[in-house]
Amino acid sequence: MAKDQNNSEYILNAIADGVFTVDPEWNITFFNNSAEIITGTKKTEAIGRKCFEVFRANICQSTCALRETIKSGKKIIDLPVNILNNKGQIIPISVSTSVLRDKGGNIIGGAETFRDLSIIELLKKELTSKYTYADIISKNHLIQDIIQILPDIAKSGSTVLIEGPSGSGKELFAKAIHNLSNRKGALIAMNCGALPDTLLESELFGYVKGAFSDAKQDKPGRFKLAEKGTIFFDEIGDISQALQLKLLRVLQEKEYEALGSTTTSKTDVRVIAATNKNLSDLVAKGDFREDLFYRLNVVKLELPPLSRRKEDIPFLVEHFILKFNALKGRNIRNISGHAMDMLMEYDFPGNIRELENIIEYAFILCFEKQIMSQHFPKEFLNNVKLKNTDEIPINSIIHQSEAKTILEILQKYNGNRVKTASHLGIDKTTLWRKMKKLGITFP
Amino acid sequence: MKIAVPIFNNQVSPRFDSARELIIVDAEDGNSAERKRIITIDLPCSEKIQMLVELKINTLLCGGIDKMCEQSLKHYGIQVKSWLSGDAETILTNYLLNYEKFNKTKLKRYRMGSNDYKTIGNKSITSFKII
Repeated sequence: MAKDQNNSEYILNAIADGVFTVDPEWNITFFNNSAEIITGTKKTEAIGRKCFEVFRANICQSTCALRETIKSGKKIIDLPVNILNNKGQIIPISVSTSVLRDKGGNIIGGAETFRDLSIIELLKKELTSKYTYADIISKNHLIQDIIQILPDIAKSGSTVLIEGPSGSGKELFAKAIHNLSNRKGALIAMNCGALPDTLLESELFGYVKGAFSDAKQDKPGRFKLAEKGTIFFDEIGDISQALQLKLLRVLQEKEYEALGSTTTSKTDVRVIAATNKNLSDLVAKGDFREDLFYRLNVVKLELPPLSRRKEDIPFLVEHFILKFNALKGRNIRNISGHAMDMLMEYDFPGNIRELENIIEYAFILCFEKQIMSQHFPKEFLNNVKLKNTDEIPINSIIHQSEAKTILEILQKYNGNRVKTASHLGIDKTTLWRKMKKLGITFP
Repeated sequence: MKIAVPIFNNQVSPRFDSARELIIVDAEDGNSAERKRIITIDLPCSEKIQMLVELKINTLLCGGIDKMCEQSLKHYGIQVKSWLSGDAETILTNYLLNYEKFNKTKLKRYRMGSNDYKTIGNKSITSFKII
């Protein structure tokens, strides 16, 4: 009997799904290895506690699946819910429940199995771009301040101007604003710097058949496609003066004409514009219309470069490892301390996009479980090395030289501290203090 | 000082964002303070936070809380004592007793150093010179 129980536990501990069982008072009686990994709670801490204190699912306090099953006797299969792990992260899972009975058929509790859907949800997000503010990874106070007001900005329906260097996440913020808003239409993105003026105009407003020689049929513009939704203009600072005027009219009058059309179309589109340039400077230089600037600058968000939010690098790295593991079917676990130090040292002129590219490159070269510095692109390694040689502080040079001298003399006297201190002309306590400070261990 | 505790079956709610009920207490009234109950069914996390801000809550005693909610609360100046579990009333009583004890100690220390202590409110006590 005991052998059978041991075998069952062995099997349950070997499976990838989390499993736990409860008695009729909701106390956990079994908790397998995968349940430990997914919830972040050790089985020694979990067993004997109430299941809702450990599992913390969003349905625990309302429509608990296990309670429903025990009440009705019916199994629940693959119900999508989420739990809060012990790091304060919300983990999407699917749960299945069943009743536990004794030999006489009496209910003695319930069993729940659950599967981590984090990777599937991440892939879904990559495909559907359904980002919310919860997807913005940052501990930086400047970003946090923006996140606090993002839901209110989203619901306001006002035009938003996002300023920030390339790769700082302007589009992610635009997506989050759109997804948090009540607008039912689509989010249509348009890179204004990527297209010549004439093409940009036809892309924005569309054209009618016969508008020009290749216009064989009507084509709706981005404004039409974004109707009742949001249009996102990236690199707005790059559009010509002529197009600025046309855009101003759309923002003021909420109407436009497709190319070659004689009829005016009304539009209900929210505009979010982004730029890596300082629009105020462009206005001062006369390169950007002041009236359009004020139309766009209703709510302004300024995103800092990654070099000013370095505390976010470890979280972003963790996110990208998870993302590329999911996209590339890999199982890389983490990054070495030295490799992380190098990333923290670097200024990332290309911001988060550059960091993402570096991690993606590392995924090509890394066949182990841990990303090491040798997996990084050569260009990045050269830049970090150059920075290192340029900026070694004077104290560090003194410390290195001091450590080298102490080590050499310690070796000469076979680790004898008294003789080493005497040779250096210092007290042995001073030598011990210096060794501790410089991280020198006895040879 | 006002305290809020999200509850579930008289226990501290395992999750702040899905809590369906809150207890609100004014710590200035000591342990005998009236426990007000507020139903928060179907309130999303952002609205719960807004509600706590409007109710001028100073401290939230709660169970599990996600990082985003915790940061939001701190942003609004609400102190968060998280990952608590067990009987909500016991936790609240212990907290209020400690709060009372702490304040009495502060008041006693102040009385020893000054004659004018009557004007001290609990909130501003730290702005006075405490000997």
